[in-house]
Amino acid sequence: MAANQLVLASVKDVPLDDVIAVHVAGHDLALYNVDGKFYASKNVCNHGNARLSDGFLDGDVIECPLHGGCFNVVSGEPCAPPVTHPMVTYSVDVVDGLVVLSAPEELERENV
Amino acid sequence: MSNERHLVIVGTGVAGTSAALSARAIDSDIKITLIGAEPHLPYDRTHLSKQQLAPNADLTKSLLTPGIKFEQLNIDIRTGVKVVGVEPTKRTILLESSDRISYSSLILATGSIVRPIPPGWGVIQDEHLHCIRVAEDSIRLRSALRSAKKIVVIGSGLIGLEVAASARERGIDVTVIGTGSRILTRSSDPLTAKQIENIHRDRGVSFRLGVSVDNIRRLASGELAVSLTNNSVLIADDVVVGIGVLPNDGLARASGIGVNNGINVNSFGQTNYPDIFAAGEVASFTTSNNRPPFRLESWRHAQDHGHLVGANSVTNEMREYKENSSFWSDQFQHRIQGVGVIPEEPHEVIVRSYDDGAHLSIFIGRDNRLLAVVGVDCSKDISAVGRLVGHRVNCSAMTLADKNQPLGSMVKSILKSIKQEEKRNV
Repeated sequence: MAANQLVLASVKDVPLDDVIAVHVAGHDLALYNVDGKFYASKNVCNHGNARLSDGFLDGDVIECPLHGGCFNVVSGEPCAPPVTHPMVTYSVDVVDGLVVLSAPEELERENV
Repeated sequence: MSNERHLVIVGTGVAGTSAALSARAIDSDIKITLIGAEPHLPYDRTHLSKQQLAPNADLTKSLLTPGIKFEQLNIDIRTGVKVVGVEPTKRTILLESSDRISYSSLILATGSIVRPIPPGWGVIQDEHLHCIRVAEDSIRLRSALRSAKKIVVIGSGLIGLEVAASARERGIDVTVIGTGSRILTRSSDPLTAKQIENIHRDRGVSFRLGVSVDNIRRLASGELAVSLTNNSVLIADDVVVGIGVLPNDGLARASGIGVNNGINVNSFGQTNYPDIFAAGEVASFTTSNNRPPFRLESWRHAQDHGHLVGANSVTNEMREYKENSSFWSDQFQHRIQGVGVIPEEPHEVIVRSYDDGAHLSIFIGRDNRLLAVVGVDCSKDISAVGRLVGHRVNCSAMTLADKNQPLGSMVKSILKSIKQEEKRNV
């Protein structure tokens, strides 16, 4: 594993078809397990004061627990109102049973 | 009369705004005019009793659609404009300025007004007596909270409690008065209400429950004296009244549009005039089982209904409204959430409690139908169980209550079997 990779979680800590919250390097991330593939995004919904890890993951769509906005967790694209902007996503890899950030510099991405 | 296709929406709350955006999303050609009586761009009214009461609040932080430029979407937004009449047979609306606007479709999303203070209370025009409905109300209350030492909140519903929490967080002495024997009689079950009451009491909020206000008068000191029906008197620098809302349906009523506790709509959102729709809190639904027409008062309903009605107003393939009502409220560092409506008919309540004090109450009707879920600090569980509202559930009460069995996967397997059954029945 490259020295600058950040570990998000052990693969077995992210239940199948579910989402968990992960704190890494001062950032609050949502980590999704869609049919055995892993995806990560900023955890706080870009619309309001809610955490996506508290939402319902339906296939590859996460629904915000307060306002009902939905994002596709693979592309980050919004797919139900009131959200109108893509969520910030992060590339992840699985290395030796761990989910790691492939490009930690992506943590600096901000909501648009 | 022009033949131009023109959708006119009255009301810039979440229902009206959501309707405008959804209509535009599926019809890029129709002319859309969104008219609001308030002078502001659409803002999130739920912030008025929470974020907007914080010392450094700023209305631009509470806009409903930050980043959306209405002109780019070719939506003509007209704020500070009052609509005073609708002429359904001429398909025009009349503005306070005496101008008329023609429409091909009209959506009334006029929301609610605060329930007026009972005249029997006395005084009633006082700068230290507050209601919360529009941005200016919050600005005035926020300013009052800067110097108030003690306040009385009349009403123990969500708004009253949110104000109580905001004031208490500033160190203000707060007493909440409620006519019911417990708080949150409409939105929560007794267990949830007790938990919220305890959270407030732990933070120093006092309650006077099971009593009503007899009168309010202004003392020579400038303070307000609130006399209760149990003969006690509370003295306060400011009094906040949160005793509910009424549908803002006067415009519709005066125009011959069918009204009964709100504007009557069918499942598509249409009034008795097929080209006039109503959306959000002002819309009144009739159910088949002889119950009185009902309205739903929540942000999520206003958004979802506005979204659907906006689309229905510009298409020939209208869809029926089927969303479940849901709500949330933030008080101190706790979040109350619910989906569905707590039923009046007999039901069973299943409670799942966690070690950290979080819990949810699940309401199951006689035919095993899951009717509602309400809880505190259980956002994830409520998001999951909320998906089951309206469906029959065949898992045991014990399983639902067992905190060691994850609800998310349970809900997913129930949803899967529901889908399979639906397929079989097709």
